[in-house]
This record gives sequence, C-alpha cells and structure tokens, in this order.
Amino acid sequence: MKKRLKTYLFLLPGIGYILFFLVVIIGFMTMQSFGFFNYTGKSGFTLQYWNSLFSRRLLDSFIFSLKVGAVSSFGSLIITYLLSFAIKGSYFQKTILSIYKVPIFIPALVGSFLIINMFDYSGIVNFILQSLHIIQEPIRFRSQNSAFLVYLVQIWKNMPFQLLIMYPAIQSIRKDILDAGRNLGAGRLRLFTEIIFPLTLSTSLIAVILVFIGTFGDFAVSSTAGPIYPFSLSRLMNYTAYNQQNWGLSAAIAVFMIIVITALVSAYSYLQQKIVK
Amino acid sequence: MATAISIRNLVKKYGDFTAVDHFSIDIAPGEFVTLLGSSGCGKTTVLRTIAGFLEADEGEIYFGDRFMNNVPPEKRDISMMFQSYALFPHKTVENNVNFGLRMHGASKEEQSQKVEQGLEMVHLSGLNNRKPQELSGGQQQRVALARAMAVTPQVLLFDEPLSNLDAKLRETVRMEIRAIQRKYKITTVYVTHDQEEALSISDRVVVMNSGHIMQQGTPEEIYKNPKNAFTACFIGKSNVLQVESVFCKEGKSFAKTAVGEIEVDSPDLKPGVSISVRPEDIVVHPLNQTNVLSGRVSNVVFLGRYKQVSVTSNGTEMLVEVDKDVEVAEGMEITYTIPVSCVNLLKEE
Ligand SMILES: Nc1ncnc2c1ncn2[C@@H]1O[C@H](COP(=O)(O)OP(=O)(O)OP(=O)(O)O)[C@@H](O)[C@H]1O
Ligand SMILES: [Mg+2]
Repeated sequence: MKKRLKTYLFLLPGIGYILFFLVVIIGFMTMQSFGFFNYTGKSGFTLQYWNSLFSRRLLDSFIFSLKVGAVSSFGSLIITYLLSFAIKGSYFQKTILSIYKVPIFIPALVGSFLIINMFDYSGIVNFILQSLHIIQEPIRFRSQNSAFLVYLVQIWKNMPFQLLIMYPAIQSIRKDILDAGRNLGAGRLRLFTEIIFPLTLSTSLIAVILVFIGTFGDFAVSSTAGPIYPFSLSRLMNYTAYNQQNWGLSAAIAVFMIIVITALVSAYSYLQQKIVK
Repeated sequence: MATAISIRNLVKKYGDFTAVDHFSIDIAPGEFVTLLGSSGCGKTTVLRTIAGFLEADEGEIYFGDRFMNNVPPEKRDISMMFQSYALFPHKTVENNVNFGLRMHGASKEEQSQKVEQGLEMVHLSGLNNRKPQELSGGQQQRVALARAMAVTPQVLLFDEPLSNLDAKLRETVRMEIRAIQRKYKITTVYVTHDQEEALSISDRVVVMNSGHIMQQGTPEEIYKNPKNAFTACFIGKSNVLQVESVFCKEGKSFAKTAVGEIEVDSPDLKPGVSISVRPEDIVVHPLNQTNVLSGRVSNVVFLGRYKQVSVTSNGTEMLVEVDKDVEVAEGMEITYTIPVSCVNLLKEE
C-alpha cells in the first residue's frame, strides 16, 4: 500500500501535470459552454449555447468535418495499401519510401498553398489539361462548396504518415503465407480480403483513427483550400469566437468535438480488443 | 508415354549462386516421385518453381502439352505443402484446411466433410477451432498437410511433410498419403531428407546434389545399383574402392583395389572406375580360424526367417541354421566354422 502510494507520488509530476491541465481546460470550457466565465456579458447558467449548437450551420460543419475525416483517413489508407504493394520488393523501394516521407515535414498550410496553386484556375493542372486538349475551359477545382481540394491536400499530407505505420505491418506478412494463399487458388483480390487485410486490420485501424482525429479537427487546410460554405468545425469555432465574439457557443462546439472524438476512440479500442481476441 | 509434368533444363539462380542447374525430368500421370538430397541441394527450389512461386531463369516447364512458365500459381491446379507450413495465422485449423475448397467454390457440406476427413487422416480430429499458434510444431505440420490435401489437384507437392512427426505417426501418415495419392491418381512430387521414407513411398527416387540430378530410378535400382559414389554413399552406406588395375583369371574378371583383389561381375570393369560394396553384404571371418569344417549339403528346409541345413561330413550329419537369404542348395560343397567359445563340453556321461 505504502509502496503503491510512493509510486503514484513519483508519477505525479508527469501525470499530474497532464491531468491537471486536461481537467482544468476541459472543465473550464464545459463551464463556459453553459454560460459561466463569460468574457463578453453576464455570467450564469444557460442552455442557450447548447441550444444554438444544433443549428443548420453547425450540422453542415459537423457533416463537412466528418466527411473530411472519413475521406482523408480511408482515402489515404486505400492509397497506402496500393502503394505498399507497388513498391514491396521493388528495386526502388528505399528511394520511393524516403521521397514519400517528404510531405510529413512540410507544414499543412504550406502544402495546402502548394496544391491550391497547382489546381488554381490558371494553375499548372488546368494548363496541362488544356494543352493536351482534354478540356476546353479551365476547371474551378476550388468552387463554392466542393471539398475536393481539402481531400486532396489531406491525403497528400497524411498518406505518407499512414504508409509509415502500415508498411512494416504489410512487409511483415511472410511471403510463404501469401504463396500458400495463391497456391490454393486465391487471386489478388481474395488474397487481399482473406489474408492481407485481416492480418493488417488492427494496424490499419490505428492508421485510420490517427488521421481521422487530425483531419476531423483541421483548421489550416479547410481555411485555405476549403469551400466558402460550410466551414470545418474548427474553423467555425474560431469564427464564432473571434468574429462573432460568441465564446460560449465556441466552447460548446469545442466540447462537442471532444465528445465526438472520445466516442470514436472508445469505439476504436473496443474494436481493437475484439480483433485481438 | 504421356507425361504429367515435364521439366527441361531448368536453371534457377539466386544472384550469382546457381541453386538448380539444368534439371530435367519427365513425370508420368499418377507417378509418385521423390526428390532426395542433402540440405541446400535445391529441392525446395525445384518445388517452388513447379508451383510457380519462382520464375525459371532458363528451361521450360510443361504440364502435359501446356507450357507453364508464365502461368501464375493460382491457375496451376497444384497444391503444395510448405516446408515452413505457411499456415494462415489468423484462421482456425478448420478455416486453414477449407481455404482451398472455398477458393474453388465448394459447397458448405463438401467443405465440412473434407475438413473432417482431412483432420482424421492426420489424427487431429476435434481441433477444428484452434488457431495455429495454439498447436505444437508437429500438429501445425499436420494441419499444413491436411490443407494441401483437402483439394484434389492435378499435382501434389510435398516439402518434407513428415519431418516433425514421431516415428510411429510418420509411418502411418506416410501410408495414408500414399493411399490417397493412389486412389485419386494424383501426380506427386515429394521432398524428403529421410531415405527410408523415400525408398518406401516412391515409384521413383531422384537423388540430387548441389542443384544436379545424380541418379534417378526405382527405389530398388537406386539402392542396389547406385551409379556414382554420391548416390552409393547418400542412400544407405557404401565402401567405395578405386579400381587400380584389372585382370582375368579362369574366365572371371578381377579388380585390384587398395584392400585387395575383388571379383567383379560387370562387362564395364576397367582401370580407373570405382566399385561400391554395402557394409551389410560383407561377411566377416576371423583370421587363423580353427574349427573350419567342410561338407556337402544334404537337405535344406526353409523356415521363414531362417533355413535349416543338413551338412554331411564324412558320413556324419550336422544341423546348421543360416539366414534366409544365404544361398544354399542340396549337393553344394560348403565350409563352416564353429567359434571356439560356442563348443560346449558335456560333463555327464
Ligand atoms: N531466397 C534465396 N536467396 C539466396 N539463396 C537462396 C534462397 N533460397 C535458397 N537459396 C539457396 O539455394 C540453395 C537451395 O535451396 P533450397 O531451399 O532449394 O534447398 P533444399 O534442398 O530445399 O534444402 P533443405 O533440405 O535444407 O530444405 C541453398 O544453398 C540456399 O542457400
Ligand atoms: Mg527445402
């Protein structure tokens, strides 16, 4: 018992610090979302912010962020799988792997600008498509309400990160197991669904959830490459706080996002445990 | 004669190292061929090339008349049992065994029936729901065997399928493999280190050494008439003697060797060749023997494991037992010795 206590005391500077800030920050924000600690008016309990949370605008932002999270995480996962097979055992494996890591070191905002530039109305993509006579008029990739460029930037940015997680898992599947599958009559698709996918499922769940959390809460990319409407949740939160001075609603959005992510992570660990079993 | 598998001048290299060197063989439909050779001689490499996991650097592979070099493994209708077992770690024993059946679209009833049969054959009934990592090495090996045999392919390839089993199980499973192979007339290529296994199970044995075929033939041919020193010494044991010179005496040809002069009954005998003699065929007599007696065989009775021989010397009959394989016949003049230690003095009148 005494020993236990000692251990906890030793851990306190590290864990205590994290716990303290987690509890204080989340607690504070939750209080704010119920009308306390109001910067701009009278403080006091109110459900006003939570009520206005369920507006059309917020719902659209929520769906937008969910879509960005889902498309980016699953999209880059698919590309990661395809790429892993393409380079597995290939002569250029090392070179390709190191080149693909580059986007990890480029800040999202910079990457976003690079890609917007390419896909601009007068950007290089339109230029090439036009000079090849594939299109007559330049395409507006970044139109009023398309998230196309956001997906593109997010996949570009996150795919290498997923590859980094997934590649060793795929690499570690023994060749003779794949050979055995083919020997017993499995073509490429069955080989993937029967052997590769199940054997890498728990790793791919990690890869998906990590990218999902990052892209679901993204601010930078959707602010630059995103449509005019809807905003991503983070952008909406920022807008509510700074442009509308509505800190209560902003706090409610923040708490809402934390709840969504916590729910997702719990679902993930539940799944993970089931798979391990 | 039609061939099921025909391999012509197969060469397989790993980098600069030639693992299989101009390997050629024709295998008849339903034939059971065993590749026998020391570790690293290229047996697995040959199997993997037949199965299509390795590309031949040179040479052709035909199944019947069909050129197979560029046919992918899943389209070859071959089932292979891997030396490393290669079980699917995330699937149960049952789902490992029925994998091939599922890929070929077998019905649920057929699947479960074949799984039961297969597990029974390898003495693993009831372990359907275990995962491979919950099995012992020998059990895993048997699952791999059941998995490979659950489908009924044109060709079966076995890479040391019984290496991890105890002697008794090895023998029973070996017999069951052979029975199934005979029943469905499946052309089979079998790899083993174990010469007894090779001799007992095969229609034909192919002896390999560093990527080459040293000799091929029926088990009896290989054992009784090895063509080279490698085969003579690899299958069983042999004394190999260099023939220094050759001479004839009384119409018989003799070889002069390091240990002495030996009569050889072969038209190909010439100086420079070697002869081999199996240890079990050599009969030992002590030098300066006493009690060397001679007589004429007057009667021979075959009694299964031995023969009872009556030898008459100077009108007195002696009863002698000899091994069933010793060639004696009535009227033959023979000598026999009595070890001194075996002569017993009867003390009472
Ligand atoms: N992937 C590889 N890369 C390089 N060399 C290899 C490779 N696989 C096998 N070899 C070499 O090729 C030779 C033949 O290998 P193989 O596996 O066919 O032998 P084997 O006869 O099956 O031996 P064993 O009885 O030990 O299983 C060996 O000398 C081995 O070292
Ligand atoms: Mg081998």
